[in-house]
Amino acid sequence: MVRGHSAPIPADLPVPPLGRLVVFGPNGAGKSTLLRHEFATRTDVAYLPQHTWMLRGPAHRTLTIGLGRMERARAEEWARQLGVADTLDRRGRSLSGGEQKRVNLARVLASNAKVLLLDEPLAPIDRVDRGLVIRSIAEAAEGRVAVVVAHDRDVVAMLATEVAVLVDGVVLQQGPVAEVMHAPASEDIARVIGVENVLVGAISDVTDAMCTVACGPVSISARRSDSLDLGDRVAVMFGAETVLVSLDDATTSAQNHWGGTVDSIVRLGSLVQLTVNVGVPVIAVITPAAQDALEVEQGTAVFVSVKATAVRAVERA
Amino acid sequence: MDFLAEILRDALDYVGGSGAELVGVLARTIWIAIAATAGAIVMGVPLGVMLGRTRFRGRTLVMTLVNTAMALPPVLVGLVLLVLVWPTGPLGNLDILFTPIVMVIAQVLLATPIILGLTAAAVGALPAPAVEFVASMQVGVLTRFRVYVTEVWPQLLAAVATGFGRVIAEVGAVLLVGGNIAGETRVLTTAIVQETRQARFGAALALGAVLLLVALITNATLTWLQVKGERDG
Repeated sequence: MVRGHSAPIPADLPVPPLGRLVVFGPNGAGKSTLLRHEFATRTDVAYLPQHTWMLRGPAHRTLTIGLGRMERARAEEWARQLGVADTLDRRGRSLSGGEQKRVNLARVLASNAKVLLLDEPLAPIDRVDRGLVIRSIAEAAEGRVAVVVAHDRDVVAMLATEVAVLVDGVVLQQGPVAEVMHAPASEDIARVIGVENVLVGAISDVTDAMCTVACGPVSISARRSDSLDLGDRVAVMFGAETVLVSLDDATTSAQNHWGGTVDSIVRLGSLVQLTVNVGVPVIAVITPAAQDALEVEQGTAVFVSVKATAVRAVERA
Repeated sequence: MDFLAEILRDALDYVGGSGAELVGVLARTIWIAIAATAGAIVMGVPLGVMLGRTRFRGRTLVMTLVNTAMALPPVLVGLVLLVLVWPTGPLGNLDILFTPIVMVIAQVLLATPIILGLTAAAVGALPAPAVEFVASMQVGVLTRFRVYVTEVWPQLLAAVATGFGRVIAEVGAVLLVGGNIAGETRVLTTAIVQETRQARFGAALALGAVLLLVALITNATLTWLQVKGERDG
């Protein structure tokens, strides 16, 4: 529809009949191309493009032009719910990026279409307004399906009932959020969805659904799929939020328990990211309060623990 | 110097002494120019929007033809039209030769490619987000047309000003098909030619000044609207 895009046209996206499918992937993965393709090939869809546009004149014109009486009333109601009702008399192009996006979104949410295609609906929205927009999208998607493009993991966590991970125009994995986010099917997917710890090694032991993976000097207990066997080269993955940090070598139920030293401390918004060298780098996130309580700084000796069930071994790509 | 002073004196005398005739020529000039520009807008804007937004095989060729037509020689247009509406020509039964109607037609033919081409260029240059937004609106063709027109409003006014400028200053075509008949088809440009041929340079210059004034007033109005449109975006 819009010329100049070099990304390949993807195959049709399996869109569930109900719920909120978040298409997740890095920049340039082809998410917008996929959504445009869906818009061009499906019927009964409403589409919010990635880039906002306000028509000349008052914002109300962009919100309602060409709509019927009922849709117009619904669009005005969504504008009110999205917190932009009092901007509608102003010149559309004088609105902030976030306000423009919400006016565009209100128009789309007012549609009767069975499928809502929303490309980065939260991209220019302030953090304080994100909850409002998320709740509105969730409400609008009731009884139909919203396909939402995002490259922010928070959007997946806050909105998705189902997630599709897209890389290079190909859906690598699609399923319920917990399944995809906590059990990525491959190393590539893990990296895309932001599983901070991805270590490579070979399976040194296998027991039922679990395995032990030798990653350099460290052995890691992990869940495995049936296809993996002794000696297979695998990637083991676990999120930074699953890593427990302590100062003493206390006994825990965690099968993975290693001592090491803090290599780096980075403040990430309201959290602190630690990189602990246990022979391999292990990334953990803790709160500033926990950092103060533990008095950790670069070079501090700590222990890190990860439950084996939170670690997943997948075949190395 | 005496020669120039004499011309200037003649010009002032002409303006002072030919009131009713000048007003008649002026009024005819303006209504023919407005009618021709309106006709060119009616044909050129929709076709321009369509050409600007539609992608089809041969579009480049059509664009080339339109751009070429923007530089159509008025005399050639007048000649072809003259042949067509000549009493024994294919459209002779219309009996419009040497009437203001055929003058309007000639000027519509000259102004339409200009308005069409400039509209197509403006609509074709709309940024991708604007085009994608219009596509996402899922509205009828008339609403889409209305949106495109308003989105390129300042450029459209520039196109109209250019088209109007072309028709009001044009002489070759209207002279051939209108005949410069006093009280019937004489307009400012043909009157200038008439006066110049008779070496009444003062009168010709006076008519030229009036023509310039009309163009100035029209363009000042359109430019004001254009700037206002840009500011109000």
